[in-house]
Amino acid sequence: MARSEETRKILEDIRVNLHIGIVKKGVEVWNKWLKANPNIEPDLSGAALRKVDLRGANLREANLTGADLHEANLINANLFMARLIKADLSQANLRNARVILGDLKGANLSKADLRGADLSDADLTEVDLSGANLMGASVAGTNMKKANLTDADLRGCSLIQTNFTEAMLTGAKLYGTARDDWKIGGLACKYVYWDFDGKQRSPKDRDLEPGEFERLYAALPTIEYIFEHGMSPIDPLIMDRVVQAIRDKWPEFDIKIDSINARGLAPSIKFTVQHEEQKEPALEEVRKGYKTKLRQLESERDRYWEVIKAAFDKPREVKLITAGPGAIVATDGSTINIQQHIHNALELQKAIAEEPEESKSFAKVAKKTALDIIGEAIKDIAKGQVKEAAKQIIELGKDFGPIVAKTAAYAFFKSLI
Amino acid sequence: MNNSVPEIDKILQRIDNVLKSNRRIELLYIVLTTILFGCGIGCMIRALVTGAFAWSTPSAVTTGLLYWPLKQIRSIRKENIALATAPILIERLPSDKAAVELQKLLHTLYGEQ
Repeated sequence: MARSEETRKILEDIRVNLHIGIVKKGVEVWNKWLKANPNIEPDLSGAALRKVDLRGANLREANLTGADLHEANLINANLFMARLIKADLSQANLRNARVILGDLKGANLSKADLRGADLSDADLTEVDLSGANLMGASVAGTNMKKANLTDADLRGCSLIQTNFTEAMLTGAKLYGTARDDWKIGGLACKYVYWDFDGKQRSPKDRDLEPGEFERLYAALPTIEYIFEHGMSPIDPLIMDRVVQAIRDKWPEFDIKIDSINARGLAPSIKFTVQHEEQKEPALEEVRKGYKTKLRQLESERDRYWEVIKAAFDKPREVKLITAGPGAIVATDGSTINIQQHIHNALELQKAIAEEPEESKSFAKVAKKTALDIIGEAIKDIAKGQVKEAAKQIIELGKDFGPIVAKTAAYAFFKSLI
Repeated sequence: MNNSVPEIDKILQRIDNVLKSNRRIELLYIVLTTILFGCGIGCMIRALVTGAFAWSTPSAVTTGLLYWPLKQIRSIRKENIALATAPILIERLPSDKAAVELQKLLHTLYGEQ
């Protein structure tokens, strides 16, 4: 060793000894000392701290490289940006500890309790987490390359953008995990548990083939369409049509609806595509397709009003046999007064339109959908399919109760069945 | 204590060894510096006596070369002071205060940690 390096090593060894001495006096003394001396870099590298009680200790940016923290109590400890390279944390209690941006390369965390711990953006390359409990922990953005997660409990964990490349995941419990953009290339996994209790092996009777888990669960590039002005109940149906159209036009995109988020201020629909470079064109296609479908619906609305108008003015144009003024012979052969029927249906439509949207009656079916149903019924009446129309209206009455059912128009349609 | 963290007694032993070794190296640098300085002065005197001013060139070169051994001597002395101070810090001060002083020492010697 060079002369200067040996001097430095000696002084650093003295520093470690002094820091160990302070930490052994208790967390309170340690935290107080660090608070009084903010320029201190906690250095506990190689320290033997087995079963030490460091509950709530401030170990921010501490150097704990190679430290022996077997069965140590680190509940609520602040390990922000701490260096725990090759540290022994087996069976340690790290519940609710903050290990954000920590460096834990090659550390031993087997059977450690990490419930609720925050390991976001930490480096856990080649870490041993076998049998560890990470329930509710945040592992978002963490690098777990080549990590051993055999039998680890990851229920409720945030695994967003976590890198599991070449990691071992056999026997891991994965119920309720958020896994957007997780990387699982080369992951070794024979079986996992997806159920709440972590008891139902998946797959049940066999082991997964190499690469099978990756094929089944790999995250695909995702695009999101946000409905800036809110989402109506019909929007998911429109989007389904849009996706069908894109799939026909661009089969290589293999676009699929991934999830629908109808809550909050920005409801959205997420789609998956096959490759990253397809995201932009696919989103453009979704935007265009949605606008086109909306326009189509608008035009259909106009057409439907034309049908009603035609029914009022020229009953012959709906290609039904006339039987006196305002009356036609329906498709079932009976003679009906179409003008009267449409008038009744419009009465119902008016009753629904006037009902406030926050009304309890709209709990089951949205107002817009109800109006659409009545609209369809009017169309049917115009075509002479009165019984079909009456059936739709009666069904609507079951959902809406008093608003529809108490009207004279409803009683009239009920009498037709 | 873990094997990777040496005991204070062992550290003190290492300090003694480094101090001894530093003394030898320092002496070597002093001899080297003296030789360089002597050569430079010798060349200068010869240039003045003989009037052959070309002899003053080696004098300028050797004077310039003195920079490195002098720098090394200075560095050794700084380290020696630090090494001599460390055991006193450990023995005389409580660990929390000693740790603060040691941090300052490391900072003085090696800059930002």
